[in-house]
Amino acid sequence: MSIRFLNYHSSILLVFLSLSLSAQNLINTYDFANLPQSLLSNPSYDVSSDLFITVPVTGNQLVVGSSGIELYDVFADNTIPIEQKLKEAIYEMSVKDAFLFNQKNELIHIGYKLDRKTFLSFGFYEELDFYSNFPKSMSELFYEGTTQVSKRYTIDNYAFQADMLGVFHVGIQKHIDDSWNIGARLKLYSGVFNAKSSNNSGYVYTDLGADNVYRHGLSTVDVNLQTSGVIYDDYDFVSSSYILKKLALSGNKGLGIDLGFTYYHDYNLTVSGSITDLGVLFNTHDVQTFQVLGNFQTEGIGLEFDPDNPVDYWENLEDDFNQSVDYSEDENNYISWRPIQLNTFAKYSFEKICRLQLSWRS
Amino acid sequence: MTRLKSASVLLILLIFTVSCIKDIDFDQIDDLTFATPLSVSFVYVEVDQSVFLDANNQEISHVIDESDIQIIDFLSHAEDNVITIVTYLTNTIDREFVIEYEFYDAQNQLVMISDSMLIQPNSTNLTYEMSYTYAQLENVTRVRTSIRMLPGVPLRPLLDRNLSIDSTINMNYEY
Repeated sequence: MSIRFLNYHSSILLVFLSLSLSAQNLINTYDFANLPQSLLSNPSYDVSSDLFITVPVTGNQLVVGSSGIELYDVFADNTIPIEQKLKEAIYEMSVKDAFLFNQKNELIHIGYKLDRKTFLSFGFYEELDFYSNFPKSMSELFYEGTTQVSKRYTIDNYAFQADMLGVFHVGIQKHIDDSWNIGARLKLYSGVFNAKSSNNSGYVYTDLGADNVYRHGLSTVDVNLQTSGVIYDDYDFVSSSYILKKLALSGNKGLGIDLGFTYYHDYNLTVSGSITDLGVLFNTHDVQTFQVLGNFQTEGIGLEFDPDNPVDYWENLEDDFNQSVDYSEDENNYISWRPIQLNTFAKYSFEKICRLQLSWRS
Repeated sequence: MTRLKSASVLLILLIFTVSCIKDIDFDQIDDLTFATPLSVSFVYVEVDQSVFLDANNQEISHVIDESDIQIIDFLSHAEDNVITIVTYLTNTIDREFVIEYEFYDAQNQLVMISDSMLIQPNSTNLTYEMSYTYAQLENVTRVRTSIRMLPGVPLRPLLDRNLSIDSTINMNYEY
């Protein structure tokens, strides 16, 4: 087929593609030729222009994802009650499933070719991240309560992290030779808030009791939650200007780096890779961390009917709980790692299209 | 032929570009409620015959013991406003007993008394279920368990006989 034929029919195909879409998807800027935003995915990418200034401001990128469950599983427009649909979906999921939310709003991005081989770019964007693996066992506890005798509802390995931050970045793309590009981007983070929990363990259970009907317990529980910029006595002061100030360097500080390479094997084959957000945030503002540690079990209140030795049963129960389960709060600073993203890419271009690319590169 | 081949390729590609969007309704989230079924151990008693005898071996026909309970806020989440106390009785003593729960408020005023639970001599696993609304229990801060021994054959304290009371509070915790 001739290139002219391909171009004509490709255009028609693209028209149909755009007409058939009724939902928005995040534009994957990785290897999106000539788009400056692709530098944020891989700092080594070629930029054809000598200078660019992009001011997206309202250009939001949104990624919402989950494994093991789809929106349709829960929100299908049918006669099945939503509680039933959600329960079935939850019981289908496994501990390996996870939830992800990422929102990114780029405010400004400027790039400038320093010389034939070096391209400098810098800018600022805001990012909101959430990741959580699926607490399958504890989710089942919501549905089963204490009705499943001898079942262990565990919180082992449950982890989540959420944060919002502003990112100032400056990057260098270096054209080594006709085959190799490398790039690096330095990031300065300013965190608005952070919340994370990891390395949790322990379980809740109900067994048949020896003295009463049931024995309820917490076993080897070690649960923690670290927050920064989340918990306050009141939230009247939280406003858009407060958030903007935190985004612009008055929040928690952190540093990160993106690294990338692009290899042009020949005119047809391109291989690239990058690692982004290899960074850390130092949470020092408005920090509150919580930990629950211990074992406890109870079969209820055992009455003794001994008038000579009256017992404050409820106080004993509370004391027993407080001695067995240690609940602590502190304001110690902590570190949180940014969610690292690893990108790998390979592209093979067929010969005739490649000639078109060749003329563009030269 | 070439044109037909090209058209076929385009048509096949076109088919793969068309997706079916399933109907979804996010407004269903307004109807979403959770109700966790809970059956939680409440009070338990294991007493032998000596509890019903004083130092002079005279019978004591009525014994009581009581405890604070501070779970009323928890009970306010009961689905359909129903809280059930289930009591399991076992009696190997040769007398009949009547067991009642008495509910008191913070000012030590009696709020209400449960139905009487009667257990015959040498009976096992007798079950009583009593349901209440949150409104009936919302001021309760103390529960007294009252055991009345009805007249009958004399007690034989040398024998290992006892009265056992196990109980649970059952409700669906709604949120």
